Amino acid sequence: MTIEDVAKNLARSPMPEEEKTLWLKLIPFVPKNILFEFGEMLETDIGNVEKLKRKYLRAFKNLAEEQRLAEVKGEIDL
Amino acid sequence: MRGAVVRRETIAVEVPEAQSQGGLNREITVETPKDNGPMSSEEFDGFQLVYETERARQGIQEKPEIILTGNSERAEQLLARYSEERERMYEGSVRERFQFVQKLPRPLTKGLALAGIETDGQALAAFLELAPWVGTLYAVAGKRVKSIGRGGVEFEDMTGVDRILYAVGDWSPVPFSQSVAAAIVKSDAFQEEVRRYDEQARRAVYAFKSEPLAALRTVISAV
Repeated sequence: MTIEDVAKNLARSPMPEEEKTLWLKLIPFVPKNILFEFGEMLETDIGNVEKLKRKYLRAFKNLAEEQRLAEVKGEIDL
Repeated sequence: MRGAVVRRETIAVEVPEAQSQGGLNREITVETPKDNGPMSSEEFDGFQLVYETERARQGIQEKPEIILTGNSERAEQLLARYSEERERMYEGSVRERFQFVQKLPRPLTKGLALAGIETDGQALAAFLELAPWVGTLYAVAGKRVKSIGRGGVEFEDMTGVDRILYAVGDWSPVPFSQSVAAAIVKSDAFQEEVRRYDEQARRAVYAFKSEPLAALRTVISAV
């Protein structure tokens, strides 16, 4: 983990913008051991959000498929 | 050929027989619809031709799409659940878990408690007020805190450039956060990345609040 990694993780994290700005201001002052620990936690959060997005993407795909099948069935019934 | 509007281009095609005989590759002209995706595939004379279109050369990436044809109610329910789960996830995220104040040396934690600073939020707010002074102190001393914890405090030497940046700090026309943080993370690439992710996050938040179907597109494009 480097300071640049922490900054990048911060940019990608699900934190509100105001808090990101706050942390960005603090980067030069926060001791590296604490900063890197913070960066790793951010990484975990980003991973969790990605997992959540994938889960919902699957759900949307399933829904689209269901709707498509229903449409085809409707056409056949007609 | 599908599509009314077509683009003609001449491309080189590798012909295995011609190569084995030391011959040149053939050049052929193909027509493609102008609004094709970044990659297009055609069958020509027994060969499968896969080539880049203009859009791909310009770096325009196509996003996967999910076409929802039925009632949007279920999609909206899914989006609401996604939004809720994401919010809950953030509540239990780094902001709650970090406990910065508890990681400081015990005397410092006690000193902060006496000053009414017990949470990370209070500590960060106070630290922001002090940041320019801390920066000046670092610059004068030529050292900054490398690590801090229950075991104590460790300092590291600073370079001349660092000292100047810390000294300039908030006293300069350029805000401290921008000058120092941007220097640390080699500004341009980082700023671009922040801008990109910020924009993505902002779009998602507004979309979830105002237009669920637009939000669906945002979720898809983000994945």
